[in-house]
Amino acid sequence: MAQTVPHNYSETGLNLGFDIELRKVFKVFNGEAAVRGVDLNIRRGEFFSILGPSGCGKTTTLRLIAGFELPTAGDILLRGQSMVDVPPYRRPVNTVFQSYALFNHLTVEENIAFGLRLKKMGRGDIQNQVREALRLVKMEEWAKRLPAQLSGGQQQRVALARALVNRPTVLLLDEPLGALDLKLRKAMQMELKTLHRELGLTFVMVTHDQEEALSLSDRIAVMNRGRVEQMGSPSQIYDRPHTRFVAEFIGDTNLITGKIEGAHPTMLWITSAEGRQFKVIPVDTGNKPLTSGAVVISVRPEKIHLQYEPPADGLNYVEGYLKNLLYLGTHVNCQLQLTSGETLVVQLPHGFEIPPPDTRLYAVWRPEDSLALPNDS
Amino acid sequence: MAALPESQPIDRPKHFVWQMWFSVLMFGFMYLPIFVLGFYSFNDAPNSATWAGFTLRWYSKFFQDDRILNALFDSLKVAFSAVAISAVLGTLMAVGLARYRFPGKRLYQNVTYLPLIIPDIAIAVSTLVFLAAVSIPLSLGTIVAAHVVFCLAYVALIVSTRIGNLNPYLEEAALDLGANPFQAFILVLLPELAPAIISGCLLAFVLSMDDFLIASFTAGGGTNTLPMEIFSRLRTQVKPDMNALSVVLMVASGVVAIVSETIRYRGEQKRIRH
Repeated sequence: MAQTVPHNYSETGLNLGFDIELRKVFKVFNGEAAVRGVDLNIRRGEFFSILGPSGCGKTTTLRLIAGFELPTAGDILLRGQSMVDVPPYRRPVNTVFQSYALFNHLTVEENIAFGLRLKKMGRGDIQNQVREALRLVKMEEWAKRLPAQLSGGQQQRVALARALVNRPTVLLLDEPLGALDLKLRKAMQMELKTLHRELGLTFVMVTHDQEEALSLSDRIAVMNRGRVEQMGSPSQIYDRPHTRFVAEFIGDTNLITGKIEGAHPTMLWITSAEGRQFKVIPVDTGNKPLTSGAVVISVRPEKIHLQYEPPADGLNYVEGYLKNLLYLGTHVNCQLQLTSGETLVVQLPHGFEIPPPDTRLYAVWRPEDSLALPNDS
Repeated sequence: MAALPESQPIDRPKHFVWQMWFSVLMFGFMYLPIFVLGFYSFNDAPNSATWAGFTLRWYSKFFQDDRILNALFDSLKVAFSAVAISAVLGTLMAVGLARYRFPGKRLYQNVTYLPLIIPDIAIAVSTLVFLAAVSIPLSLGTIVAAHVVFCLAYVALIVSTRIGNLNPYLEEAALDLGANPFQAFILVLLPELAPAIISGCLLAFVLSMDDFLIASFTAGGGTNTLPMEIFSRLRTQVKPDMNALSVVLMVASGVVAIVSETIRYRGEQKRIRH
């Protein structure tokens, strides 16, 4: 079932057209807006994730694409065709449900054949395609079992096969790995990525797990309170968050609140609440550049260096004492108690000797390693 | 008896404790009369409490009694019709209540289950008064109608419970795979609900077969259900062939009830791991 649609992983590469477009989509439930003016363009063949905390409207957005919900306003296009009046059973999309929603009265085989039978496909063709789908998810030997006789991970595979066998234009995945334990989840992430590469289908996945979104996706839309806060590649989202929410939600970060004292297109001078001066190189977010007002500086733990002496001019630094060590396997994070009363998380470089508790430490970072974001929350 | 403090470990002695004796007493109180009845159904004495030897003649006697067989036939007709109607209506009602929102839904839901609480005599009298008021002549059909009232409640209750435990996304999964709403209902929802529907029907069947009160109020001339026939014979005297018939009825009801519970339990087990 491999298709040979060429697809595009690069951020700036040739645009092959959109599989799904959401235009100013709103969804109101009982007077409460779950989705407020979402615009999305999902490219053909890409692995697209909708990421956000629970209640941000991400699942509703997916259900709007699948057709289980109708938008209150706005338009949803699939390969340029408006889908708003098309019921779910005529849309060329298939869904992998969070709870799998396997049919308990049917065997694994019959579950997978369900969609093909409805299409009135011939018996032999159905058999071949079901076998192929079972092979794809490595479930051949379980064909005759009932869903209740399978483990969670196996049910997940059946749900995937049941959707994929219909060769949808777009595969929708609603928190597909949410119910699996950590180890199985990691293994399934790899398999999802492999499946996506082999099939060349457009995958749209909803998840609240930022690590999962970062590792699997070509592009990510971060949603909050019914809106898309930012859309971009994993590195854009991680390295260049546009809002305080995105900076906090994706990865670990330190936030320092302050006020802009001086602005230049290449440099911002910011004074923190405690009166300390910081320099930040502004980045183009597509929004209006920051020139004044309350901001929050975001510095990732791995961008900060620790040293025993104050740094040379031109670098940002704060001073404090070691408070806690957090051993994370691949690296060690430490929490600094700053003289200003706040705490700062710093990733210790490899081989860094653990300082004695009462040694004064300087946490240093370059202006280009931090971001200034509007302090909107 | 004072409640034990919760932290104290419960260390029961192995021999009989008072709870055990209490249970034995309760079960004895409930089931001893039935055993006595069963015992006398094998008694060769025509109408006395003295034991005159083992016989099966009371069993063979009622099987040759035309009036009893006719009454049994009437009862079966009523039970099958009432259950068939209730199965369809009850299932649709349960699905409708679970899947759709409409004004007055809560009220509707509570009214549905009302026949489970209302005393049979109240249903019987009010049905009779109603039928008289709209001048519908009493017949076998009126018993069926009255039985549908409570059969429907049982079927709807059991099917509703099952729907409540069902994965709410099953129908959406069917739609997603290309089934229209009707196909989703027939191909997915109905098979998933089948154990509950069957179990509800069997329970309703037993209740309809056993009902005396409602049937006796709503039966027309010439119709006579089995419980009515038994009652009319008992009014004069207790005959051993009625003992035998009661034993047969109880065993049959018991078997149906056990089958019904087994089906429901199996269905739940199948579903329990998603």
